[in-house]
Amino acid sequence: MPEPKVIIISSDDEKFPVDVKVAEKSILMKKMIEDLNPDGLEEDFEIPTPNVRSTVLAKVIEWCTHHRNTVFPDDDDEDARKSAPVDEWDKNFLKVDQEMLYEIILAANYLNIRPLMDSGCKIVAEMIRGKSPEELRRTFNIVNDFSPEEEAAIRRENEWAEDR
Amino acid sequence: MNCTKEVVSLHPVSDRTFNLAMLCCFQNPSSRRENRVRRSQSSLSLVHKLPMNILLEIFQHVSQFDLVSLSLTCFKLYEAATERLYRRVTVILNAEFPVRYARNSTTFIKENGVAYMDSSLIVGVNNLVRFMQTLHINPPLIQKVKFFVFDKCYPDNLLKENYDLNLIQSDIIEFFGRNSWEINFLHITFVDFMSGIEKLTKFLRNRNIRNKIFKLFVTRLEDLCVPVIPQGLTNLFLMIDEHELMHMNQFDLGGYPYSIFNSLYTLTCSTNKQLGLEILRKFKLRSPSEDSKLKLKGFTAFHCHKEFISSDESEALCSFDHGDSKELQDYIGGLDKKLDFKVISDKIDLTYLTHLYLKIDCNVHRNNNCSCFPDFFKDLASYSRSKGGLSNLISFELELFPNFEWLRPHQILETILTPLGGFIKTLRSLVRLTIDLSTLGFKMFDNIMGMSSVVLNKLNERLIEAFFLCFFTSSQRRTTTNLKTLQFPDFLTSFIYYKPDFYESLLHTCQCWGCHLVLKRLNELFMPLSGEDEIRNMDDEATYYILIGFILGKLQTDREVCIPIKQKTFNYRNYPIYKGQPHTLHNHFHQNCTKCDCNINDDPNAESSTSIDNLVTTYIIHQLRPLVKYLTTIFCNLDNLMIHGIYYEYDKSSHTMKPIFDDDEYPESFLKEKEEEIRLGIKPDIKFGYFGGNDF
Repeated sequence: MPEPKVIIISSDDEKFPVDVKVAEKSILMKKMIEDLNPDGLEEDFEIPTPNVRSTVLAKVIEWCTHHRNTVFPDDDDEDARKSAPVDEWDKNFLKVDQEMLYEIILAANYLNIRPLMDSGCKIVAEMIRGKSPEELRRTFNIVNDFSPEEEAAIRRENEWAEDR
Repeated sequence: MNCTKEVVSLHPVSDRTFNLAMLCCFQNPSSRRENRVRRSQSSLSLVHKLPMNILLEIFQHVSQFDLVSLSLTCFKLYEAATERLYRRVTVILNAEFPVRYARNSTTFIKENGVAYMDSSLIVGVNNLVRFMQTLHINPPLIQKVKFFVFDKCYPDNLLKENYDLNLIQSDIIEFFGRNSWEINFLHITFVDFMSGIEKLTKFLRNRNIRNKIFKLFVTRLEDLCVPVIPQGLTNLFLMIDEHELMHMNQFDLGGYPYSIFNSLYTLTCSTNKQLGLEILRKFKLRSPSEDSKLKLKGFTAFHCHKEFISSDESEALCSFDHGDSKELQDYIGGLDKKLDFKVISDKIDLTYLTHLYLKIDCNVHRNNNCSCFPDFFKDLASYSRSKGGLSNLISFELELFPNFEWLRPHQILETILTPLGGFIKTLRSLVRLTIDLSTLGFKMFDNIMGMSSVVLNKLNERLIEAFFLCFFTSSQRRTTTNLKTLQFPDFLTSFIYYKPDFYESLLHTCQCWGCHLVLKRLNELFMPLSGEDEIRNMDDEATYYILIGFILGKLQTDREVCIPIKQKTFNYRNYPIYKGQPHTLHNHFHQNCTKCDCNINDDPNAESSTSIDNLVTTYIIHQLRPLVKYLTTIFCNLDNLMIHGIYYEYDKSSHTMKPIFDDDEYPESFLKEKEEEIRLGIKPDIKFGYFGGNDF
């Protein structure tokens, strides 16, 4: 008899059957599986994810499948998590347009997949590093909603944090 | 409002005053920002897509310079970026950085500030002034500051620039005391310690400060609960005056206010006269059951056994001052001041401890053969063995109190090292060990004992081996394999004895030309030493002890790495260091000299690697090499080692320990004079000391 699967359902009702081990990369899903199936899965188990579109969910599942056997730093070990560099596979995996990148981060946040969220956040941080305010606006489609006076005041306000 | 811009001067104040209150009339820019209708952001933008909590996650991985840029892009990112920028602020004036940064503060801050230290860094006094001006101009920003740390710094050079650090620190603590409701933790290393304690005590009496703060420093018991016990109190530092302790019957942990002790994570017990165990002795647990003992993560005790013997005895032996009242003298005289482990184990369940810091000593054993110090550690070792090696304890630190009367080798072995080693080797999970015997200067044997320097060096080796090799006995190898961080702030003075023959001592083991040139340079710059006849007439070898001793003293006591709070690991390579007074030798020995080659004007902070203080530091590093090799052979998995203020980290490529903050090698320009001899492999033709045959 085949192993029961976890069926993850996207917000647009697409179904993704995956192994328990893959689904359990999400702490949210792991807890649901454990809480609702205390004796282990005996049949397929459906988990709806109303906040995640199918295209995004497919990517998230791709990540979980790739990392099904990866051991990540403990969630509580903030030092280790922060200092760990983004691995090469994740870097390539996250070479997507910005909208998709943000949605992957949001999905990782919702599904509680800490290592994926960390990788996504670090990739966005990499896009921020060393850029001027104007370059940041261009990179991230940001509309400047400050008046020139406000901008000047903020510049003065945070001067202490510049290195001089 | 234009006139106020004149007030917000970014230049040093000329009259050495620092009155920021006058800046408060400046308009708050954020209130202006909130009143406008904002232009809407694109639905595809970062700002539109990601909520605040995710933006804050992302901003953990950028530098404070990026946060400044982000704050200037749009209103929403201003809010998120400043949340992160102000959350934790660390002031480290005169800090130096790991040598790999070549004194480049920008690169250091970019790579380590927010990323490793989880903090925005202020490394210049100008920026500190700007920071405080900003808070005065825009007071709501202070609510974004959750952690504020002002680390150790050297005030004299700042005074030359007309900055009175004492006043600046007063302004900071008063301003936070008046205005902050959200501060979790504030630490200032005050340039004036005594008035600093008063300022801190006053600061902590503000009700608003007790809103979120988790650590309390209490000098009067009333201050624990007046105006209110902080809701989130987890860390308590008790430094109680004996007068108050004398009238205190007991601390009843079964009722208000001392029941709060039951939920503490860390507790420090100290009194003005270092009788911390007396506080603990007065704890009355909420019930007699084992379960009611305190389950602390961290415990620190300051306790020194001293007895008044007779009026002609040293005051250091006495637990009270002659100015104390008769009542107090009788009280202290009647106390059993001996170190007694049972006082701790009766009140604390040590199996929960992760950090144990003991600043304890017995000054009586030096005169009266009191055995309370070794007995304390024997009992602690026995307790540890009975509790499976205290498997939660990962960090242990022992510090003794400074004592002018040093112990002879057999005494230090018997009364300190053997019982201490006996305890340490019981620990199952220890990863960080610090031992500071607080030996103030060289322990010198004169030459009339008939013991040669070679024999004394062998004796030193045996003493060191007797301590460190004990960790190998029976099945106790775990101490040597578990340890990741090992620190000996006074190793060269605590573990080693000297004779007047400097050239044959363990301070002269390196046979390189660089070390030879350092001694030559010391000779040129400082000999004969200025001062009394006794000093002026010293021979070269005695003078080297004095000069190198000054630098050893500075390395031992002044240095402080700025370690962020709540660190689980100790990544010294990612933190700055305060190295103490610049140009120490010049300041002590060139006081009356109008002209010298110490390069004071061009290098006021003594950062150049050819500054004599730094050359002597490199000299010391060279002499430490055999000891470093010895220790890393025993403790085979060390990531960090600190000996006598020199911080090393394990270098994976060379499989050796490399200094983090100091030059391992002399600059080429300095060695130029002996270029030819170095090329030909010729060594200086003088005597040397040997440790382990120097063949490590």
